[in-house]
Parts: sequence; structure tokens; C-alpha cells
Amino acid sequence: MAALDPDLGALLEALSSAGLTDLARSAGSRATVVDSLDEGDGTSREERPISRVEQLDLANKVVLSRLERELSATDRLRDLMPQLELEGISVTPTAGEREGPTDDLMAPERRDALTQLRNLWIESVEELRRGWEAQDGE
Amino acid sequence: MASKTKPVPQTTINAINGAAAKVAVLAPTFAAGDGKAFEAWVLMESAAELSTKHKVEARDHKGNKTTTFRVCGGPSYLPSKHSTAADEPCHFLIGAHLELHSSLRHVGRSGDSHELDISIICTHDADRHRSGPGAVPYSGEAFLGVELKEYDAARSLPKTYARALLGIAFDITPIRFIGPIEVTLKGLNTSVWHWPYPWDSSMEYVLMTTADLTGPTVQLLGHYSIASHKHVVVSSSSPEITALVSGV
Repeated sequence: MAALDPDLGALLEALSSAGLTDLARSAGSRATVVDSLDEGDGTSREERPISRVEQLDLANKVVLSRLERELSATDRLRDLMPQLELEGISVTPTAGEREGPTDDLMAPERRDALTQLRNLWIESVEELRRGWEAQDGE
Repeated sequence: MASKTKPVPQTTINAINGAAAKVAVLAPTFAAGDGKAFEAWVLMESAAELSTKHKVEARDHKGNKTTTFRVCGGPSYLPSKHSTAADEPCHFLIGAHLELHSSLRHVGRSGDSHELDISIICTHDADRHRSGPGAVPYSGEAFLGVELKEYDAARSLPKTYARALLGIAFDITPIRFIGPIEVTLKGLNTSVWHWPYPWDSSMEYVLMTTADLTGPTVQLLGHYSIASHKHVVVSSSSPEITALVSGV
């Protein structure tokens, strides 16, 4: 497993310390370990150095695809609601299994928060890319 | 010695941190990585697809029509209709005899229960369960069980996932794995073929994922007639959803 670049690590830590631990962990893991499409049992890993730019691309793909899928699902659910005669869709905690708050999937502020994070993430990835290019030129 | 400029300023890190904190509060299932929005989409898209052929209605645990649909955040028991809790999960009534559920626990022959992310079950049996005093895992006739895996599209699901689904399917419907049996009658020089009752073996299982699937995973599931769909994308025209409910 390659060591995570510290600048990328700082971005992922910003997600993790805010509560998006699972997303940050998945992105960090993807950035440092390359899955091999193994035809045997699919569990072997390719061990090779991964450049910081490649790490950023891999982590970025995980974060963006998760955020964009969540937004697509939200939008599609909203489209389906009239057909299914629904006014709301929420995820409730499971008693005795996983306690937690109810997640109102259709709340506009939920969608806004996801969109804002996606946009900021895209900007910060570009900023990091430019920063590395500037560093390399110094 | 002059220190190098940080490639990402602290203000950017703080902005990401603030936006992520908002998401963690407003979208707790996204923060937990539960894939619940994806699961809700498969459920609702399936219901919409079924509504082109059947009457489909959202129902609460008491069997009343509802406009506020509650998806259970984790593996769920079939709630009693006597429950007064306001957050019991809902389901869709399909026609007069079937129900579409998410995250429902099914009882296996071992006595253990197993969650299937999407299920189609028999209303008559579900009603019998709901008439009881408390929530219980489902143990009646079932027609469809779907396992969903929302992972990074660049990943490949190894055989472990196929083995897990096979284990669940075997425990819930062991007879599904038994083909026709030849009974030889000694002395009469004849034999009789026996087929398992179709209602014991009619449950279909499916693995659906946003990720890739390795060849051995597809092959292993395919051998037992378990369908698998990879790179599933949220969209209004999903061939995977159409295939999922085509037999209903």
C-alpha cells in the first residue's frame, strides 16, 4: 500500500473530521491501493508506486461518483414521487440496530448541502492540482 | 530558509470541512455510507415499473395507504400492525397479493434471519405476521430477493459477495438448489421422477451493484441461476430494474 500524499490527506481529513469518515476512508483506500481485476478470486492487489497526481485522480473519482450518485438518486426519487402518489421519502433509524436521526431524502436543504460539497470539492481538487504544478515549477 | 507555499490554503480546507459537516447533519445515511438513497431508488423505480402492469400503492405497517414513505435504515423485521411507533417502515402493495419491501429480514431454515435489500413477498403471509403482537422476521412465501452493493464503479466485487448471497439463498430456499430427483423402485425395474414443488423453489435472487463484477463472481452466481447486474446507474430508464421485476 502506497503512502497517502499529505496534501490529499489534508483534503480527506477535512471530510473525515466533519463526519464523512466512510467517504474519506474509501477515497484514501482507493488512492493508495490499486484493485486488480483478478480473474482468480478478485482479492489480489497490485503493488506499485502511485504518483500523487494518480492518487488525487483515484480519490477524486470516489468522492465525486458517490456525491453525484446521491444527487442523481435524490432527483430521480423526486421525479417518481407523483407517479407513486408520495409526498415524502425518509430513512428511519432501526430500533436496537443502528440508532441515529431520520434522513429526509427529499429535503431541499439536504440536496443543497450535497451540491455545495460537490462544487467545493471540484474546486479544491483543481486548486490542489494547480498548487502542485506551481510547486513543481518553483 | 523559505518554506514552500501550501498547495491548498487553509481557507479551502475549512470550506470543505464546513460543507462536509452540513452534509453529515442533513444526510446522515450518506455520511454513514449506507447507500440508502440508492436502495430507495431501486425500491421506488421497481414500484414505478410494476405500476405499469399492476395497481401499486404505498402502505404503512397497518396496511393503510400512505403518502409519506419510510425506508428502514437497517435490517428490519416485519412490524406488527398493532405497533404505535411513528417510524415503522412502509411497503408497496402490488396488485392484491404481493408486496415490495426494502431491508426485510427473512428467516432461513437454520432459524437465523438474513436481510435482503429488496424483496417481493406474499401479502397473505405478511398479513399473518403483522397480526402478531410484535415485529418478526418474514418466514412466508417470497418471490424476489435482491442484494445491493453501492461501491466505487472502478472496484470489482470479488467472489466473496457471490458466496455470501448463495449462503443466504441456500438457507432461505434450500430446495431451490435441488433439481429433479429420480426414485428407483427396486424389483419393479422402474423409476419415478420427482420435481420439488414450484412454490418452494420459485424465489429469484439477484445481485445488483454500482461496481464491476469479476468473471468468477458472475460465473458462480450464473451457475445457480442467480442474475447479476454490474455498473448499475441511477436513471429513469434502467434496463436492470426492468429485468428485476419482469417476472412479476
